[in-house]
Amino acid sequence: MKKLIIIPAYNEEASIFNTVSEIVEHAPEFDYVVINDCSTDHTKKICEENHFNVINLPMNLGIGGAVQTGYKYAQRYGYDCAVQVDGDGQHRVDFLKKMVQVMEDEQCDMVIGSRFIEKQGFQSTGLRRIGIKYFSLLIKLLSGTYIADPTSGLRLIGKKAIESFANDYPKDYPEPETTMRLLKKGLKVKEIPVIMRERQGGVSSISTIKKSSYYMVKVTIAILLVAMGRKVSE
Amino acid sequence: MTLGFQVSLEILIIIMIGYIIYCLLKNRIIIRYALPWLLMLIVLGLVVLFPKILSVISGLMGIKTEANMIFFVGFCFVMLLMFSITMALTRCTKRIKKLTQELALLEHENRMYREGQEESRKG
Repeated sequence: MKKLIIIPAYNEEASIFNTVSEIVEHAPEFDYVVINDCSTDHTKKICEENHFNVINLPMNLGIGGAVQTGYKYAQRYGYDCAVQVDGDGQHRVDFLKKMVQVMEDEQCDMVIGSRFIEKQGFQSTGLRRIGIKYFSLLIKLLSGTYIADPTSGLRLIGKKAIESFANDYPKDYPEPETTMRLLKKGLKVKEIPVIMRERQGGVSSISTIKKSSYYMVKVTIAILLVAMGRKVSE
Repeated sequence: MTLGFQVSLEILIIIMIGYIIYCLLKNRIIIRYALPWLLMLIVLGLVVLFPKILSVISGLMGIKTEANMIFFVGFCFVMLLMFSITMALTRCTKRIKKLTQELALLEHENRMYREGQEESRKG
C-alpha cells in the first residue's frame, strides 16, 4: 500500500523541521509531501535547505487549497491512502500506523483521529468543544452517523475519498463538510481515539469572534448544502 | 423635464457610452461585462428622449410616482448586476485555484526531474 502524509504549511518556520523529522523518523513507511502555501517567513528556505519533498504554491490558497494540492499529488502518483498532518505539531505520528491498520482491517474510506473518544491529551477549549459537539449533532441528524470529532484535521482517507477531495475541496474549514460528503456518498467513516498536543507554534485559524461566527455559519451552510445534494465539481 | 435638462442628460449618457466603447477599444473591459452597462445606458437614453415611457410603465406597475418606479427598477437592475459579478468572481476564484495548484505540481515534477538528471550526470 502506497501511503502519503500531506503537511500543509503556512508560516511554520518554527515547527516545520521538527514535524518533518518526526515523520521521517517515526513513520518511514509513509511518503510525505509538504505543501508550502506561499509562506512569507522562511518555511520555503528551511524545506529546500533540508531537501524536504516540498510543493511551493505560487499564491496563497488557504488551508483547503493547500491540502487539496496534496490530494491531487496523491491522485497523480497513485497513492492508496493519504493523511493530513498539520505543520504546527498538534498531531502525533505514532497514531498513523494504527489508523492504517483500522483502514485495512475494516475496509473503510476514512479514519478520523478523534480527541474526544477517550478524552485524553489536549481537549481544546470550552466554547470550541460546544461548537464541535454542535457539528457532531448536525451531522448525526443529517447522515445518521455520529462523528465525535468532525473538526479533527487528522484524517486518513482511501482512494475513493482522495478522488473526491482532489476534484472538490472547500477553501476554508473543510473538515466537517467533507466528512459529511463521504457519509452522504455512502462511504465508510470510522473514528479512533488519539491524543493531540497543544500547538507548538503558529496561531489557530479560528481566533476571533468574527472568525468563529463565520466558521459556525459557513460550515453549517456547507453541511446543509451537502445534505441537500450540492453538485461536486467534475 | 425641461429641454435643457433633457439635452444635458443625453450628452452625459453619450459620454458614458463613449467611455465604455473607449474601454472596450483599449481592452480594459471585455464585451461580456460591458453589455449590461451599454444596455442600461441605451434604455436610459430612450427614457430621457421619450419621458412618456416612464408614466406608462409606472401606470402599468401600479406605482404612483415615476421617481419611485425609477428607484425600484434601478435598484433591481443593480442587484442583478452585482449578483452576476459575484458569480463571475466565483468562477475566477475557482480557476485561479486550479491553475495555482496545477502550476505548483508541475513545478515540483520539473524540479524532481531536473534533480534526477543531475544525479545521473554525476553518475
